[in-house]
Order: sequence, then structure tokens, then C-alpha cells
Amino acid sequence: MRRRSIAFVLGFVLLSQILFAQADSTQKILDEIVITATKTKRQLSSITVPVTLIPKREIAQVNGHRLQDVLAEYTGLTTTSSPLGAGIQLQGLDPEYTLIMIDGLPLIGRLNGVLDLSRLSVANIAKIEVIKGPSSALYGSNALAGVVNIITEKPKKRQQFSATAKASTFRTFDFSAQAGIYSKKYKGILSTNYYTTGGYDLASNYQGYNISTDYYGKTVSPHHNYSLNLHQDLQLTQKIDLLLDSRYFKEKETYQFADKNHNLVDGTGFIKDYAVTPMIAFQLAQKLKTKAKFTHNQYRTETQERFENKSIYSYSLYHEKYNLFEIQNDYRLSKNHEFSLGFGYEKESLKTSRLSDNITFAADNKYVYAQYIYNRNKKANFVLGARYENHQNYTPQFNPRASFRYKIFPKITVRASVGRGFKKPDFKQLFFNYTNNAIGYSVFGVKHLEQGIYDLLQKNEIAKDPDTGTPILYPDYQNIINNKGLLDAESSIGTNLGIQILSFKNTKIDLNFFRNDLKNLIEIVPIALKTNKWRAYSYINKRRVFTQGAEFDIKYFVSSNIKISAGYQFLVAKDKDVLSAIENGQIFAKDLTSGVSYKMKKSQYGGLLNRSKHSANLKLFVSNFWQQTSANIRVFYKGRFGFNDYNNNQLLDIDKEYIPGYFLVNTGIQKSFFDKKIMVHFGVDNVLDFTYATPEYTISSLPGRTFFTSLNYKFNSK
Amino acid sequence: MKHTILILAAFVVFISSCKKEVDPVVPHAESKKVTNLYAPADVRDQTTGEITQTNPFVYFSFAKGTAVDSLDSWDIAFKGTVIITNSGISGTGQAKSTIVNSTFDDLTEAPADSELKEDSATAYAIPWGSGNGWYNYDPTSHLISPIAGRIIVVKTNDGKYAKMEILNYYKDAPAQPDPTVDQGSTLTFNFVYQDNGTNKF
Repeated sequence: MRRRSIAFVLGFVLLSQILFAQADSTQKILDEIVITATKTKRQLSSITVPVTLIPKREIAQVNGHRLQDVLAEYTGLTTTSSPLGAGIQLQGLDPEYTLIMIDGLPLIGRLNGVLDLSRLSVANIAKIEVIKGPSSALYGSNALAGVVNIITEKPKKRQQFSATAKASTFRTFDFSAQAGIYSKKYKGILSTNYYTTGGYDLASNYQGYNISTDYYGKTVSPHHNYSLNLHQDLQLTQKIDLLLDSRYFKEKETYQFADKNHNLVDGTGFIKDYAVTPMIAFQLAQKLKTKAKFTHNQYRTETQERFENKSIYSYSLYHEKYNLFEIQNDYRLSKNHEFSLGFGYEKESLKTSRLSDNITFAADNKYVYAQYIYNRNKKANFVLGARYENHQNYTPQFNPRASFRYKIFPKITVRASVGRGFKKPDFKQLFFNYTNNAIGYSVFGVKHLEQGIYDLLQKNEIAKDPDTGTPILYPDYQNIINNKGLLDAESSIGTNLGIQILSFKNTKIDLNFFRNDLKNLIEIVPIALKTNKWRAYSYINKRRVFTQGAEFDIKYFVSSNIKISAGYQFLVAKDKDVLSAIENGQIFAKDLTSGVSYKMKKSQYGGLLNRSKHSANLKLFVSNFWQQTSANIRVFYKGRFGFNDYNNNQLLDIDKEYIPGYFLVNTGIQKSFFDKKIMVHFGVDNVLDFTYATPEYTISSLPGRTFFTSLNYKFNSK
Repeated sequence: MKHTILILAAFVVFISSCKKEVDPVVPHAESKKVTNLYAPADVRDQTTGEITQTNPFVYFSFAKGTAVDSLDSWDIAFKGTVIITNSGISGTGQAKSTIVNSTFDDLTEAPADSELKEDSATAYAIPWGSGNGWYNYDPTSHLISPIAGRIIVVKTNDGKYAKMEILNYYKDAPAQPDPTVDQGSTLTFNFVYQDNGTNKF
């Protein structure tokens, strides 16, 4: 009886809020400012490309530690985890095809293409803007699937200070503090964060394995890091503004593993990342704004791995330097016509122990981009842009993009965009010079191929044809040489078509269809047979794939303090060459029980690995329902996805090759005291305690149920 | 009326075409299965990679359908993942072989003799190494698995044709072999030996 009456009262409270507290919250969203879509400030309602905006408020509700914790909560932003770190899969494309930026500047330090999102604390983020679809027309390489731009916190009050302490399961602690001042002349804000975690081990769930020698070490190893960010803004005159952004990051990780002979190895890894960015913005004329920026960024990792007797197992160094100089002019001819013109020069260098003889590889890039925005009226606008770049190491790239928005009816808006995106070849594909001495194969980047093969011929390490006595070089060797050692950038054409429906002033529905056609994907191919029966390999542009699907999002503001949202993504991603090979009857699979081969059918092909056809989320937020208390519950579904090949055709086709779909439930409750000066937060992530760990595949980002609590203090002067 | 006649005529043609016998020239050769043919690989020191114990090849004759002595007429021989052909540098015989991409049943005719190879110092007729020939090796799990659609075609030492498909590399052909438990180098395969001298199966 008692239980029933509580439910009744709660139900009544909710109902009264639904009835009496109608609010126009969708308009608030549409008024938000977006900068990433056009590299100029614009209202969300006038943006022509698909955008996901993640405001500070929602980041606080999730209360995650690192960037991937926040991104994973949004439709179409699938996070991936691998030994290379946490990445993001956008529109079905791998992490290497999404550009990650902080305040409009790209982050460096990608390992095999993956930029580890866990390097980034969420403590000083004001908002995150995610643009979906190719954005190379503004940002160049890697912006194929889209762009994630992290906008850091800027001072807003004369004096402001905040501090947060968080603790969660697995001895994870997170401390951050922020202090800022604001005056007409000078604005500055300093943010710091310290994060430490004890890590966790999922291998202990395995059956029948000797964990101490087969799976020595943890799934996620203990590590700790510091971040420091300083933003300064000096208004020199009314027309000249000087800015200086600096950031510093340092991490240390300790880990263990067993080598192939079950010898235990202890490793220590260090990461250092820092950047300094001075900028100057000036207004030469009423209609002309100019912004010039320079950035110097260094990313360095060093790992040392030793056996138990302290002898060295391996040592590696990776040191990347990046300099960028860019000028952008924005000219506003009238209310209807806006132009932007930008120039840039990038200089990169890399020193790494993975290139023999410690070669330093350097690359220069010059680019120019232009954009024209036509605001026809309040109902329609049109954006046309293109970027041309001339890089030392690959063919010049021209990336146009066209997009428009049209409000067909007062409540219905359509958006369409089509653009080209590209990703440059990485240093490995260009300059690698590597021979595995333990096994015997060799890998050469295309720029080193001729020299590498010449060296092998000199040492008589290339096998010779017995009949003719000529060295055995495969056709792709000649193909690469014919290309003069040039590797083309990987490129795509992406199309997005969306419709937005606003109804009853408190519902917002977004539906977006996307298709990306990628070509020239770089693949490793054999180029010669060595006398030791192993092969030498290099890289060539080969594969063609496509991804397509639809994204659906609905937000319903039940009242000013109750919000329900739901999202769903449908995704198909396949290799075009595999599809045509299946059509030609050239793809086979093996029946696992009998071992007999059969011809694969198109309907059996599951597409690219690690992609869920279906993923969905459902969230309920209730704010301030009782004495400054807010709560939320968020449910996520990730449909089954392929992870490996089991029937020996290197393709995804049988059930055993999929990880089954799963649900995650996260929940949190927060209460503020003393006029919102103090906020206490408590929550449980992964309430259902879902984990997946087998020797074949482990979802390393899911340690099971975790509890967290945090305390936040905030002081703002008037 | 006219239509009925047409339909009847078509029906008669159909019935008579069904009566035609399958081309009797090629009698269907029998498919046989060899199970658990154990041919251990050489034993290597795991750190230096040097051979510490050399194992003999296991010689096989398609005509007999069994392992035979090296002094007998053999066609191919097994040792671990390696398959050699009795010709060139591997033997004194006349055997030749190659790998064809197909299903076992769909391969109804052996390729032309010019495409069948002898073992030479640089290239074995059935190539060695993961991904090159009939198997893949997974360096993480150490699992050896036969590649789907790789059919070995042999012109035997006695000039006849045979085709074979390797089904499993582990003892008792488990559907999910575990290299740490199941005994490797133990082949199970299907083969057809065409003893009438044609290259049709």
C-alpha cells in the first residue's frame, strides 16, 4: 500500500509538471552558435550540414572522465576500443577518418590512424561540435567522415573559480580546478586536471587458461595523467585582439604482458603532448575580419619494456612535431552574401625508432580554401566551399563541398550536402623500411621501395625465377614504381540528406540519410619473394568500400524540466570489391563441421568488421524535481557486430563471427546546495553489469558495473 | 485451339529433352576421404628458430589412397603445413600440381598441363607460407586453418589426375580446433583420383 501511494504521488508530480510547465526549449537549441560547420559563427538553425551539439550541461549530466565517455552517449557517435586507444566511428567509418580538433586546431599523435580520445579530459570543455559528412573542404586531411571540434571553456565572469573531485570504481580519481578572470581588456582562464586509474582486468573471466602466463597483465593498465590549459585574450585596441592558447598533457602508464614464450615483460610508457597557439584577430574594415594563427605542437611517446631479469625486451620512441600557420579573411558583402578566404602552411616532422637508422621524415603542405555563403532569406541558405592543397608527398587534393538548407514549411526544414573528403597516406605507408628479423618478411613505404628492393638484390635476398634467372617481383612492384612512388590519398564522396520536424513547440525530430563512397584505400601488398620464402611488402591504393545508413533522433520536452530523447542508427558498410568478387563466384567459405568449401552468396556477406547494423539509445532527464535534485536514466543498445573470421575466407559471413548485441544502462542523480555553489553527484554506469570477455574477443572499454560520485564547487562573481 | 496445340507441342519437346541421358563418356570418379594423416613438422627452438629435430616427410599416393614408402611411386608428401610434389628438386618422379580457386565439386576439369608445376628451388608447386598456398596462420592464436576454396590439383606420378581439398589440420577434425590442446600436423582431406586418364572429374 505504501509503495503504491509513493508511486501515485510521484505520478501526480510528473503529471502536474507536464500540464503546467510547458516550455519552448527546442528554440533554445536552435539558437545555439556553431562554429565548426563553416569556420564562422552561425546559428544552429541555419547550418546546412548534419551537426551534433553537446553542451556543457549534458557533459555534466553524463559525468564521465574522458572524452569517449561523453561521445558514446550520442546517436551515430560509436566509440571503439583497441590497444591503440579509444576512437570514434562516424557514419560507419573507422577512427582514422574523423578529424579531432581542439578549438579548431587538429590534434596530432595518431597511432595507426587512431587518436586516443582518452588523452582528453572533459573538465574544461564548454561544448563539443560534431559535423558529420566530409569536411575536407575546410579542414583538409582526415575529415572524411566528419569532424569533432572540442570548444574549451572561456571566461564569462569578472572572477570565476570552480573545482571538482570525482571518484569511481577501479581506484579512479579525477581532480580538476579552473580559475578565470574577465575584463574588457583582458580575459584569461586556467584549467588543470589530474586523472589516475588503477585499471582493471577482464581476462580473469576466462575459463581454462593459465592467466599468470597466458594473459599476464591487465585489460586496462594503471595510468595517470595531468592536463593544463591556459587561454588568454588581450583586447589591444577596439579592432585588434591578441590571443594565446597553451596546453600541456603528460601521461605515465605501467603495464605487463607475456611474450610468445611466456616470459613476463614489464613495460612503462610515457606520453607528452603540448601546443602553443598565438593568434591575432583584427577588423580592417566594417565588413572585413581577419584572423591569423600559428601553432606549434609536439607529441612524444617513449616506451621501455623489460624482462623480469631487467634485460631489455624493446624500446621505442615516437616524436612528432607539427607547425601550422593560417590566415582567414571573412568578408560580409551584405546580409545575403558572405565570403571566406583562407591560406595555410603546415610543416610536420617525425622521428621514430620504427624507421630504421632513425630517419627523420618531414613533410610540407600548402593550402588555400574559399567559402561562399548565400543567405537567400530566412528560409533558405546555400554554402559552397572548396580547399586545394599541395603536399610534398602526395598528389594535390581538391575538395569541394556544396550544401543547402530550405525551410519548406514553418516547422519542416530539409538539408542536403555533398562533398569530397580525403585522408593523406601516413609516414609508414610512405617511408617505412622494416625487416622483421625474427620471422623474415620486409615492409617498405612506397618512397623507400626502389632503394629497399635494390638493397635486397645486392644482398641476394630476392628469390630468382629458375627458368629465366630474373628476380621474382610481383606485378604490384611495377605498379608502384610506375606511379613514381606516389601514393594517392584515400578519398570519398559523401552525401547527406536530412529532414527536421518541429512540432507542438516542444518536439524536435531529425532524420538524416547518409552515404559515403570511399576509393583508393591503401592496402599492404606483396611485391617480391625473398630467398627465405617470405615476402617483401609495400603499399598501394586498392580497396573501395561504401557505408550508408540513416540516423533518427527525437527530443521531446515534456515540460521545462522533463526531457525524453531517443535515437537510432541503421548502418550498412561493405567492401565493393568483395561484392563484385562474390558476384563473379570468386569468394568461398568453409563449412566449419565438414571443412568443405562452398561458394559464398551476396546475402551471406556481413560487410566490414566492428560495425553494428542497429544501435539505439533512450534517455530520460528530470531536472529539479525535488529540492534542487535532478536525475537521469539512459539506456543504450548496440546491435551485433563482426569481430573475426572463422571459416577461412577473411570475411564476415557466419553467426560465430559476430559479438551478440547488448544493452547498457547508465543512471545518475545530482543535487545542488547553497544557490548551486555546491553540487553533489552520484551515479551508476552499466547498471546491468554487462561485460564481454573471451580469449577471442574482449570489449575492453566495459569493465562492468561502476559507481561514481563527485563533488563540485563553483564560485562566480557578479 | 491454336494455343493448346502449341502448349502440347512444347510439352512433348520438354518431355523428350528430359529423357536424354547424361553424357556417358566420363564415369564419375569416386570421392574418398583420408582422416588423421599425421605428418609432424620439424621441431624448432622457439627463440632461435633453428631446427632441433628433423622429421621425415609422409609420402602419399593417390592411386593407393594411402601413405606409402618413399621408395614407392608417390605423388605428394606432407610435413606440417608443407606439401611437396614428386618432381624437380623434391623427387625423381613426374608429378605436377597447382592450386585452383573453386569448390571441390565445381572443379570438374583439371587445368591444362602448362599450369601444373614442378617443385623448383625458388617456387614450390604448392606454395609454402601463410596465405600463399592452402592455409592461413594466425600469429596470435597460432591456429592453422585451411583457406576456403583452395583446391589442390595433381597430375600424379603415373600421369593420372587427382584433386584434393584439405578439410582440417588437427586430429579428429574438430570444428573449432584449439592449437594448445588438439594435435596439429594431422590432415583430413577429400580427394578424387581419376583413374581413366582423362582430366575430368
